[in-house]
Amino acid sequence: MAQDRRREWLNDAVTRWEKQMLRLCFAYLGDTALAEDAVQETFFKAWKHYDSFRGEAEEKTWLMRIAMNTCKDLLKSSWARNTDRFVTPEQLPEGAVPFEERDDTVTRAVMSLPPKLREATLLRWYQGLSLDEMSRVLRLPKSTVNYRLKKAKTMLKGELEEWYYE
Amino acid sequence: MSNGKDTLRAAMDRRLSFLDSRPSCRAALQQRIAQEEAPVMKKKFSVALVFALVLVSLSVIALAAGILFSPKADAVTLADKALEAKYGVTLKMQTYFTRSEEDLGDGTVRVTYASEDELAYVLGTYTADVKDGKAEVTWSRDGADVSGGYAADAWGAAQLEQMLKDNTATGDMGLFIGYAARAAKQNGRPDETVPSMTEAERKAYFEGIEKEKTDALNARVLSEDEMRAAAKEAVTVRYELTEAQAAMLELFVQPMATEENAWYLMIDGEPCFEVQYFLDQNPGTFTEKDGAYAVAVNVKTGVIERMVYESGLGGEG
Repeated sequence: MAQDRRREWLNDAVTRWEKQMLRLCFAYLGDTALAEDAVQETFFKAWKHYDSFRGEAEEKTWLMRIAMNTCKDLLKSSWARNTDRFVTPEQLPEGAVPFEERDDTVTRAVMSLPPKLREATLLRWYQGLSLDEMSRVLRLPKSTVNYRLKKAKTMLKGELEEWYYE
Repeated sequence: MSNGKDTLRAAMDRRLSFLDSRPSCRAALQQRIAQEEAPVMKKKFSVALVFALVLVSLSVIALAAGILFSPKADAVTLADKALEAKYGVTLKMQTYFTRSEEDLGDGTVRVTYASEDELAYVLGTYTADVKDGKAEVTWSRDGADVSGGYAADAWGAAQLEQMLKDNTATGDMGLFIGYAARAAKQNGRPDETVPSMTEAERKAYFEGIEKEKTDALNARVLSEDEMRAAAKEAVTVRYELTEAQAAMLELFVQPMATEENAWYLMIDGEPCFEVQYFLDQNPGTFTEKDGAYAVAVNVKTGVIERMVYESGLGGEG
């Protein structure tokens, strides 16, 4: 019965979050195959540790934390560190829906940030996590999270128009 | 980031719309779960458990006698001091480097401080060989011209100090990264590309990490509270914190229910539990010794296997 419940939860979670997780992981890793691996691994870990998830945190936040750790584990591998993983702007596939030039600009600018600033930007402004949630996901004090967001904003400022700022 | 109607999220979603749900992901997951759910024989009472019980008493002795550091952890301390003495590179400046340690097998521990990405060319790599309580440090850019601020071909302590100041004052990394990238380009940074992993290698990599975490957890003899206490004492002693600073160390406690093995890892075959402490003396401004301290405690013996300090000033930290 417990196994059935876990499987049922996983099916629902994949339906709810797969697309969002895939885009998040891609924006962080810059590689479609790696992002797919990371998403699959994230759901597998979540399924495996489902019993320890007791609803004390948002399901999304919990999954994001696992996803970010999985992406970092991937980047730590010597193979990933020494391989030019990022797609160039020209290599970024066309979208399935129409997009404007500035959509392209902002996406590429975010993907070009240093990893830790990119991670903070993606969680805050792409996934809409609060500072508290980010602190939990990144295991960092809020002051550090704030610091990184501020830096990310400064770095993006040169490339993006005021349109994108809070 | 928004202007009311449009958001960064909407922009990225449009641009990344080529990424959508993949049936293959669900299928692969189902396959892995089926394998995982296959019945397995329960482990018999093992010799390892007997050893573990014996180690309980040894560990208690180790903790009672004071904090013990592994040879590598000791080597790092000597290397850090030698790095500062010879090149003026302080702990704070290490935020721009990634440190690693390697046992060379002849009693020498090699501690490497490598910078990455755009900064790799100008900052280079520092290598400290530690043997018999002495550390010899060299720099991959030894002999290069370090004069001229960010325009120099190689960046030493003076530039690192300026980078910290610029980061703290403006939060802007763009300025010096541009200079660094230019210098690297002009000098043809070597191509470090290696062949990609195969699918099987990727799978094995992930499984390996997970297995190591679980093995480390299963090897635990000390309680997590004991290990947190040992880690705090180690940080205080090794980084020479004052009593007041030690009292302000904030333990990072995972507030969410999470995987039981999340903080466990293997370091050179030794099962460890990682503890993180943060010091933020004046929120909003950097004060000496502020930053994150990560300590890996051997779960069987209480020995400190690894310590990492990250000032966080580099933004990459």
